[in-house]
Amino acid sequence: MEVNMLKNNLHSDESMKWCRIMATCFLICILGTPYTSGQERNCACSDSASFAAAVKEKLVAHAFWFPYGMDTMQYFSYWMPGDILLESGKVVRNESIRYHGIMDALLWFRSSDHQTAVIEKEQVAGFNLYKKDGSLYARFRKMRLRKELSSDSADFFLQVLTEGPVSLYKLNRVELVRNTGRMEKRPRYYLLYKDEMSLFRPARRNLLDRMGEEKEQMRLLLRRNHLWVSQEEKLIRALNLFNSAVAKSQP
Amino acid sequence: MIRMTHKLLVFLLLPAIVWLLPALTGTEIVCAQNRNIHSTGMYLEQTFAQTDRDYYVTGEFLRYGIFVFNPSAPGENVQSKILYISLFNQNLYPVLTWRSNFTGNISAGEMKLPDTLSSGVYYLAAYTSFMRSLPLSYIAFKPLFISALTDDNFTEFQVREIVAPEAEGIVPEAGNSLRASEKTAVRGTTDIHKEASSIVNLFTEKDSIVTRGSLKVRINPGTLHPGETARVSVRIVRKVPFSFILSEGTNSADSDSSAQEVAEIKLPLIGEQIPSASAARSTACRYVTENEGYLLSGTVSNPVTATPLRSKLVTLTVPDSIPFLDYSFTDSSGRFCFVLSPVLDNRSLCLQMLDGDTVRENINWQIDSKCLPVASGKAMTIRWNQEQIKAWDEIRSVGLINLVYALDSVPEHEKVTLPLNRPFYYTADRRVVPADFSPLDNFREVAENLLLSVRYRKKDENYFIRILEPGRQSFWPPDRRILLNGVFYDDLASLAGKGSKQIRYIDIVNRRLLFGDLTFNGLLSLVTTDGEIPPSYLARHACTLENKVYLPGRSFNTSNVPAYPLPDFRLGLYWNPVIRIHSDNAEEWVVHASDIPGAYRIEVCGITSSGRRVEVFKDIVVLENGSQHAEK
Repeated sequence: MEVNMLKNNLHSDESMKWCRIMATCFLICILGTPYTSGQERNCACSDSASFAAAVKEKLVAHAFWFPYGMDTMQYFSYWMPGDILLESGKVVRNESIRYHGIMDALLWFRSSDHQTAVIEKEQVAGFNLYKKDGSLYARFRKMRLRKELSSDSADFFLQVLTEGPVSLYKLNRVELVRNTGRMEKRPRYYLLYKDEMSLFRPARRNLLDRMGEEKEQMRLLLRRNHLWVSQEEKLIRALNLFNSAVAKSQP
Repeated sequence: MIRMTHKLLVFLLLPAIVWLLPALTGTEIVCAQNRNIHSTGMYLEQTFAQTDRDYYVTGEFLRYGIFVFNPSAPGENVQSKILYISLFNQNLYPVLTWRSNFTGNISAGEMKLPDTLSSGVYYLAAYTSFMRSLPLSYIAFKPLFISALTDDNFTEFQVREIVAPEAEGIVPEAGNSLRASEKTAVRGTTDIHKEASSIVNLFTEKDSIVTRGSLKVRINPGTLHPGETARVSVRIVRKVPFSFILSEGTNSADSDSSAQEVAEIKLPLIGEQIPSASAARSTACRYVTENEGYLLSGTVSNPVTATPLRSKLVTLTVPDSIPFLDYSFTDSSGRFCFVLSPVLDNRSLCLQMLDGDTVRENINWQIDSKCLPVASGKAMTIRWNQEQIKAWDEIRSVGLINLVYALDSVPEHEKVTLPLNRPFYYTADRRVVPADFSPLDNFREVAENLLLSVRYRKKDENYFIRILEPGRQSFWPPDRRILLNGVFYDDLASLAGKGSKQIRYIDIVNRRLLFGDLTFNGLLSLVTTDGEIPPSYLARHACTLENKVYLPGRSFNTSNVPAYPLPDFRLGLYWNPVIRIHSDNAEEWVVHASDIPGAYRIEVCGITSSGRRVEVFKDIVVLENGSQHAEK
């Protein structure tokens, strides 16, 4: 009797084992099928082998020789993942780039052979730098302007601080101090209002002078929010508030 | 025993479950351009073609309007940007193929029919590269009758059923080929929806006019919904005692048919073969959509061993004074791929393989064809009756008169190219124009006296160049490649004879140039005054091809009314490939009759933004000036 019961138990154990195996196989099938079938279908594309590489825009750059040594002051940031907006309207995504303040140039770290190069400015319309978490760190746009004491206008990479009816841009200039070899950050701000772009020194009076008809509105806004516009963050906040107020007032 | 049963169950059931699961769970996915699209919202493309007439004489212009749309979302723009148009002869061989860029779902143009065509039924097929992956029913096949001027005793012709080739296209599994009733059902799912009520209304101020008279024609929106737009092509053509339609009821089993009593000649319907699940899987993404530009792809192999050349650098250059460069690395099967931008339209292209500092010679280049693969199905012979022969003789005579006497206002296919704005390296470090200096006889003198940062030397019977590296004030390693008129050239010995007279200018890039994944240790670009590259060099070191694109550069809204008192023998009174009818507007225009009296037909065909098909017809009569009866 006991032997029979043992046999039955053994038998039922084996049945359970097979059932478990079948259930496991079934689950594997359910979970695995969409992936495997997707793979099967992808491999049928005769043109897709080098299609992705063919579509990708080619960056044109010249080797960078570190003419200013290794001082990190010359750079805007560390190497960061970024998108490069080209003049052709296309975008080259996720390249290691950084901005060089002395040369006003976009540097590119080519990961395939670890070469550092200066991207042709003519090719680029702007670029975005991203943090590691994927959030936007800084946005640059190539704009044509004439620097003071300069006879002709030229293209510069300006950091976009705010954009709207009133836009604020920053030229992250780094200059070599004469006879010392030191580098110094000397940023310049440019305010774009009513299609007129000009150099702007962050100060309450300068801002109000530039606002023209909206001078009183800006004055009220600064007073209510206790904003000290000589500081960059507060200036950006003031302009953002002004832009959103203008946007609300327009139908 | 039970264990065995369990094992059997596992081994038998598992494959069945794996096979059935996609169908059971509804995960039927097809891929278009590396995207998985569920079958419910599958991306498709379909074409609809209309021509200014159905009958032509060789040497005449064939005018066409092609609508390209997504049958699942007809109001939206399609992804493809390149359209291929082929003219197949009665043996279903493409006798004429051209390519066109299109935007806004419409492509219109005209093509001169070559004199070499023989008389018979032809098919105008319009397709995108992606549509070659789809069943043939998505592709517009417009039957046309073309007569050669010399075929006097042409009384019968052959037509064939168009089917997808089994070897290349969709392979039907056993029992998967459809009956006629099933074809209709399938066509209904893919074809645009037809409606009995009139979506647009066609009005004429009168039903008959005299020769050289004028007639006002108006199209009003009918049952167009608010916001819905109809895009239609309009033609007014002389009625003839024959017309060609693709029909399912054609009795092609006996392979012989006479058109004695019928004015409507029914041609066999395109063979409709629905892909099986496995075939759909393997063919659904066979061709990607050309949404970025024309896709130039191919294979490179060794001409002796026929083995594919793997991981090699293939460059695309253009013989031009402004160098253009693109490149592609071959994959494991020797395949390369380029997406051509519109600036390369109607230019000569040069494919080369760079190997170290030389340009590799003697390579077997195989460029992928964009032809539509079709095969011939059942054939049937159609014979003209007396009335049809008479009508056809008249058409041919009128065609001949028009070719000889009519003002040929339509220009030949013009070669339109866009200028290349700047070289691929953007700015050179130095440009030297030898004509600005004292004349120098050969390239060695030019290099020594004018190109101070370049060394042109000969060592061990080989010429090479070295370019000064600016950062380190030393020379880059020797290189045997330069750009001669925009193309990579490594026969530096042949440059020795080029002096100030032959050279237009020389661009020198001293810095290390990075172009995508490529690196150039300096670059020398030489542009000659004659702009030529030795043909013998190109034959050995390059694959040259013409990137011909048809660029319609003018409006095709035409009545082609000749300046009187010239005789006017037009059989087509009006042709406009694209008219947009909105729900709140109407279109009106004036049509001028020709000198040929008879019955004419106004045909308005097209589709609406919601996918409804527009087909409106109206007959008018052109009476002979002074007589009361029209010559039918």
